[in-house]
Amino acid sequence: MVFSSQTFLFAFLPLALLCLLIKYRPVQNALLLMASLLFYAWGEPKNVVLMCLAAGLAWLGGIVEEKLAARGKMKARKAVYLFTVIVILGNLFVFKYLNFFCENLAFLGVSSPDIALPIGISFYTFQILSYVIDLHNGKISVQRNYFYLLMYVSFFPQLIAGPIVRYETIEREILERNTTVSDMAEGFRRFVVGLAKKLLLANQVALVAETIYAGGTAAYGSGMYWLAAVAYAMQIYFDFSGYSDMAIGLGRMFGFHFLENFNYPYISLSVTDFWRRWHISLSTWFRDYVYIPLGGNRTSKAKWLRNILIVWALTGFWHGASWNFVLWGLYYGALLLIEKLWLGKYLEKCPGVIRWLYCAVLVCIGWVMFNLTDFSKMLEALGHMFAFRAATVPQVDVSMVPGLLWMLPAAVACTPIGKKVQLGDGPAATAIKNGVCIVLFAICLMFCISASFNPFIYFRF
Amino acid sequence: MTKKRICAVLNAAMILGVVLFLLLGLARAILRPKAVNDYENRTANQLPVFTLSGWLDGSFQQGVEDALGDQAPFSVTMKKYYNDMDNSIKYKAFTMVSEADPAQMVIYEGFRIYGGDHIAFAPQTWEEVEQPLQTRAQELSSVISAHPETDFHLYYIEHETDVVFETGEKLGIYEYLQENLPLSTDKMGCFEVNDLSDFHSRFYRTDHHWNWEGSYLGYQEAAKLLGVEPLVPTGEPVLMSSSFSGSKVQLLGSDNLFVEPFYAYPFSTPDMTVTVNGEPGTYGLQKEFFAGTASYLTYGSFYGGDFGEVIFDNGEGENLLILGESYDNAIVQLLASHFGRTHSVDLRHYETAMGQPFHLARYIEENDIDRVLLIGSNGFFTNEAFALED
Repeated sequence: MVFSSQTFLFAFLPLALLCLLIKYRPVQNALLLMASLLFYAWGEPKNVVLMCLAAGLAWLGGIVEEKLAARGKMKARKAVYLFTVIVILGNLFVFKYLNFFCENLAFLGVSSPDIALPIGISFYTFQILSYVIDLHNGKISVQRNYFYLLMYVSFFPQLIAGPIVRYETIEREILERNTTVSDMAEGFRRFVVGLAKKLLLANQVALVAETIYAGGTAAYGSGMYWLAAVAYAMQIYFDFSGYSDMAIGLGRMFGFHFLENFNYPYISLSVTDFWRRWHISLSTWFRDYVYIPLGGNRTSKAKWLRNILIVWALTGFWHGASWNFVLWGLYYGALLLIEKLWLGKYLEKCPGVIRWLYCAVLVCIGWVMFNLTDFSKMLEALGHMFAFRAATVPQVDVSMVPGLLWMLPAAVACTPIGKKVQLGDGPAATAIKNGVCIVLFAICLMFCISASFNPFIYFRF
Repeated sequence: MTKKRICAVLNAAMILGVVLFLLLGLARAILRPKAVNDYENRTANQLPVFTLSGWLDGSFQQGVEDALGDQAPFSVTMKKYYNDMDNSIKYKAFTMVSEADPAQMVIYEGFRIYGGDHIAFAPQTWEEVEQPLQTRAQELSSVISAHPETDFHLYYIEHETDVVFETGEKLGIYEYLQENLPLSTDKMGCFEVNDLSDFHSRFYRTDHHWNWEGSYLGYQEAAKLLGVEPLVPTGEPVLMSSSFSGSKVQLLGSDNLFVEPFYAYPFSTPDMTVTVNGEPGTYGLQKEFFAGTASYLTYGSFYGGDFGEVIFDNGEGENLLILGESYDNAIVQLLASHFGRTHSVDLRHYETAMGQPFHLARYIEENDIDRVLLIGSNGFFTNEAFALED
């Protein structure tokens, strides 16, 4: 189930909010857990078991580790820890990457097992791992109640598309949280902002990139291919950050405070800056659980280079089991190295506009790699962008015009201009904020419901 | 009341209002679902009955999503507003391009618009039709061969998906049927569309069917194929509506933007007894429209809709079975005027309407059929829904 579906908006959300009428925390948690499992099972009726098992292993591993630590059996504790991590990563490998490896080993006669990818497996695996690793490192205390750990893993606001919430962030709030009307309203307003980003901006500007790439290089010239790259950059930002906003807003409505996942990445003045602002929960996860354990930058230059490239290859691979994602990750690894080793000091002396343009162009190129999973199409698109060619059989497709118009407010929404409008917290400001929120929500519902427009073209019921 | 309290009341009112509104949609879907979605011209989706298999294969979840899309409060209003807004932007852009260069083909939501107002589906490729066409041709061959006593005829109707207007390249379905069916050339005919000029003159601009000119031409050719002299119109084409919006426009949800005149030839056909799906009835509202007593004009309302079985009884004469699709709706009464009894069967609806599957051999025997006319566009000859069992 996705937040922008009619099922979520008209059935799941209002019914889940009714859980808040139950003030007794254990019962409310039990209801939220059931709601979260239903939410996941709606799209993954079978794989919900897989998620429960993975959470169960992490819970059991934590309990066993604690007991072994109490008895001073540190080697055994480490063995349990490693076993837990390997099995959880193995689960991700089998369900997300096994097809890919088998396809790449087809020349050895290996056939692909054709395993379907469970929704959200990358997100919940990383959440479980953060619990297992932080527990082993003594950063958090063990969760003895399996259902509370499962609630952390499966909590529906962040289950499918993040942000990757660390256990330490909501450890206390699972047991003690205070949900006020103000929190609920603030959360709902944030949810509506995210919904609008998804339905009004991401889905609309998506038409531009889809139309141009579907038309091909014969129908559209280089300028249009750059436009497609910019449109896709907006689409993925508003899609992903919109989902994060919805997750943060929903979390807030239920009394949880998740960390921010995006910070206006498209105002970045360097690639390094961009990755401090884009999908923050993922980059900090890789920093804390891969980069630093590998030695980070407190090691020899060669190892540091290796660490950077490993982290970025894995970042790319995390996004999808395809070579284009690996290439995309390594592209960023290389750019970050270039900035750190050489370009960074020159960039700082350039005017802001030049730095912004430099970063924006590189990010757009990156999104072309990310978007076009077919290597030949990706190379064709990139080649076309830099060949500065006109279309040979120009095509006029007015279907993309609304998308083009939506790119204007989308461009504004990429900047923090809106943040500068401070209405305050008084009754008048609350009335205005709520009024705007309700109007925006109504427009979102209109866009959501209109997606189901499906006329029957014959005269006959 | 303190400022903080006022804010809390405002916030509570917003949350409560939103939750109640959303629950209203769910309650309506469960307790009082509407039966018909007039705007989309179909039955409204209802909440499905829960089954474990439906849950596991996702059809239950999809059913809930579809039902809420139809049953949510103001869903029709919202869809209409959205379509109007979306289409007004696209239409404005489209008219700007068309006015600047009327010859420019414009793509509009997957359709191709030629000459500033003629909406067309994109042409199909041979790869898309080859496999299903092969299957259908084999099946028709064996059916035709199994009934040497019955006189089979085939009339293929080309339309815009059969030709690439820019290059003149044609799909070649009729030629394939000619080569692969055991029918002599005098038993087969084709309504040809070779270029934009054919398409403009013979098809509606907003509907996927042939227009009054096209259907009359088709009727003349089909009648000659069957060896009968076609009827001649009793007068010039009569304007039924100057603001007709056909099926393609319904698909776009832009019926107030693309309109065209709807003409019809007047004919003098004999009085016939009509049976629709086994019950006495009428087929189409041509007389009412000519008399000015009918108002809701569509291709189907004027000529007659798609029914499992329609029988026209005209008294003595040979019995004709027409196996076809909606294209023949416009000419079936004209063809029926030449035969004793004409059975028009739409295989997509036959089993549902008649409560039993259609078996050609049994049907021919039970209804004393002398001749069979297979008539349709590429959909009829490639779609599995028209599969014919003997």
